[in-house]
Amino acid sequence: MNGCEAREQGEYLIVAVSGEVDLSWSSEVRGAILDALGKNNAVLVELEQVSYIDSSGIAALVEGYQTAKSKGAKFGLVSISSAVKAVLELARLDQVFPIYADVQAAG
Amino acid sequence: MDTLLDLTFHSCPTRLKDVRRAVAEVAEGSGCSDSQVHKLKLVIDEAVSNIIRHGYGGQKDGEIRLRVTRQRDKLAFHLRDNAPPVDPACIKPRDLSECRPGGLGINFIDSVMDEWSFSCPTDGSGNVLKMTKTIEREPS
Repeated sequence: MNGCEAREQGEYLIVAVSGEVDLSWSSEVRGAILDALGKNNAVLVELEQVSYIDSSGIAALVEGYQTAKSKGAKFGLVSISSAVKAVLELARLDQVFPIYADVQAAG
Repeated sequence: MDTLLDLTFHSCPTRLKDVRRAVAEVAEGSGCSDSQVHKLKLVIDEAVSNIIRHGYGGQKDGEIRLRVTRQRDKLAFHLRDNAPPVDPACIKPRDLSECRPGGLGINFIDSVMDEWSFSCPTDGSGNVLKMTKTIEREPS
């Protein structure tokens, strides 16, 4: 089931994404990430329940990262699934994003 | 040469899931490793997404045909659309050292496939993307 849910945990607003992120709804993921960055200065995108992601989904993450950087906000990815990891590596973005094993590790 | 899949569908993003499922079935049935199945699904998804976004400009009723054939240990993927012709010179990978959203699809195709070519067929309108990949099996 595709979905984006936001929750607060400590200083972070966490956007938990689930399902298969492709062109059919990646704009909603983008909107949820940018919306979270509009509300909070520390945002994590949780990707544990993402079974598939394509470049349109990766673009939403990159835009979130760049937006956070431009406004001096904290931004990172947490609990990334193996499917997400494989695509980040293919895009050579696995060394660009701050990636944490879980929310606690983000500090 | 065996035809493993011949699928015609509309340029609607909600069809991508079905296309990925069909590609996965073909790749699994051909003995591809799990990792290769995932990469082939991704590449075909990217190629179809590019047709939807850039070829048909988001129009949802354009026609797309995907054929997959197998010759010995090679899979061939043939994608054809009826969208306005795209200049083949514009279809090239971008520099991945630039961290910016978008434009990754061709890089994925280029890094996963053994060979690929993009052309405008002489028998009418549209564009053709041909890609080939050698089957990679799970290590025994």
